[in-house]
Amino acid sequence: MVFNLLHFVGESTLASLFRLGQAVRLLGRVVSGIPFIWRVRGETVTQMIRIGVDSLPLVAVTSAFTGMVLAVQTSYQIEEYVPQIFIAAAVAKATIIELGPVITALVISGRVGASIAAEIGTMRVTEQIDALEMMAIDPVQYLLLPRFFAGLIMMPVIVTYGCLIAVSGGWAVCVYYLGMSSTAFLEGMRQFVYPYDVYSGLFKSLVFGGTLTMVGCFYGYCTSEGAAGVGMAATRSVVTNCLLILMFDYFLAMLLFPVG
Amino acid sequence: MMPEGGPIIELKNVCKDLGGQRVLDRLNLSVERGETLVIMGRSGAGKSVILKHMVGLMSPDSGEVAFDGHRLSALDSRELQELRKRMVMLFQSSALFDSMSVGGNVSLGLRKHTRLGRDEIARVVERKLSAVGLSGTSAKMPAELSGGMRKRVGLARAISMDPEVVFYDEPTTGLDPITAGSINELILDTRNSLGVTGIVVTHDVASALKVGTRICLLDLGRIVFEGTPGQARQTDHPLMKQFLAGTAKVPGAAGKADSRL
Ligand SMILES: Nc1ncnc2c1ncn2[C@@H]1O[C@H](COP(=O)(O)OP(=O)(O)OP(=O)(O)O)[C@@H](O)[C@H]1O
Ligand SMILES: [Mg+2]
Repeated sequence: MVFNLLHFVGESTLASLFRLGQAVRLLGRVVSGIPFIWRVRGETVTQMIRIGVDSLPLVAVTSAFTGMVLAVQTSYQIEEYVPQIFIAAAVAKATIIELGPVITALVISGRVGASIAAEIGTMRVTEQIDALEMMAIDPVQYLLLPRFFAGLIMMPVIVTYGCLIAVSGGWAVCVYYLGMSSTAFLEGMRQFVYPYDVYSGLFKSLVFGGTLTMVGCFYGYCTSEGAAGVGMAATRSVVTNCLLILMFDYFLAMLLFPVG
Repeated sequence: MMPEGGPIIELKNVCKDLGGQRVLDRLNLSVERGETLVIMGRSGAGKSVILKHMVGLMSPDSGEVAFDGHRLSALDSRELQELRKRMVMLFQSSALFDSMSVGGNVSLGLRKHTRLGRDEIARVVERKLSAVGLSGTSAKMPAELSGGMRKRVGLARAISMDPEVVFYDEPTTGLDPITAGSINELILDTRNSLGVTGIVVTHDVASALKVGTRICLLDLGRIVFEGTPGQARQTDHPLMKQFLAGTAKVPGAAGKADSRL
């Protein structure tokens, strides 16, 4: 009984490590293609539009609500003891270094990561990937690299856009609901948001952009067993992305904002 | 390395287990330059698996596959890619890229591996499409095509690159007899005019006898009959005879194959 349990734990640990190894190797192959990205520029632009532009409406809505709720709840938490100017600082800062990148990444991973997994998975089970190999075209360079690269480039752009909307949402709540003046809001941002915050937020976005496209590519590329396999690849990519994004967020926070 | 002379493809003692069963069992098969080898066998016998071994999409559990004297298992991915430029494959499932138009499918190899201009590529695409009886469909998407049309686009895509070796996985399956006839002509033309080596997997007896210079029959993971179309017609081999006649009663050895289907 105990032996069986150990056996099971050991086996699943080995299997996970094996998958992790596979994923890292695939990442290596993708990254090694970045110097030759111009060879797949057409496909890369297509993916940038798909990942970036097509996600804007969704990100606009999620970001606006994030900014608004931040303003309301910050004002509730600090009650009257703290000058209102700090509400502006808290809203803008939390958005830029934390909530903007993380919430956008979670939203995009559901939208883009899953669709990449499904798309590449379908190409795998319908032998389109084999067909590429037969045409002496490396599927990793031709399919995975443009998606990964587009994710890296576009995530900071989307997050910037999302943060602008979120901060505007926070501003609207502060001015029209909490009765703060616009000048006070801007003053709060000016005093407490540093360029370093912006860079860290953009760096996080870059990491998340690479993660969420790579996870989608990995599960898609390793799909087997037909239509059910494609569905499983999409689901797994969403689950893995949620975990990885939150975990990486923690480690990046430790790295970028060391205490003391 | 030993280019020229010797068979272009050689499978030696190839074994392969898939899904818990032995699909290829110490299979030996070689393909000579310039011939058209037809591989026949019951559905699920492992014909597509043989093709995938020949091109390196699958690797054997044991045994050896060589293409033009190069052992595939010893090649790195770059070398394999170079070899793949000399061969093309028509997939049983067509495997068209469904995010691309018909023209995009047929021209992909040309766009990636040649320096031809836009107009030149468009001309080649149109010529290859009309060779399979589909001229004027270049702007259509694969999803808009019938199964038989997809197969023919797959064929046009395969022959767009003027290869040395062509693998056809069931080129005439799902086509009406007239279209099938013209595809057979196309396979013959490809060999006669360009000296292309062909490996054709088919269940279509008429097609096999017409395009093949040699026919072999796969059963239980091994080649059980091998000969020219003339020899195939006259053979006493029970399974081969059955294949040609299309009778259902399964004698002797093939009876065991049933349990695997
Ligand atoms: N990727 C795979 N995973 C597991 N089993 C496989 C795989 N590919 C093929 N098989 C098995 O190998 C056997 C041979 O398959 P193959 O596709 O070569 O048959 P075939 O001779 O081409 O048949 P058909 O004429 O129907 O195309 C089948 O039993 C199939 O189930
Ligand atoms: Mg087959």
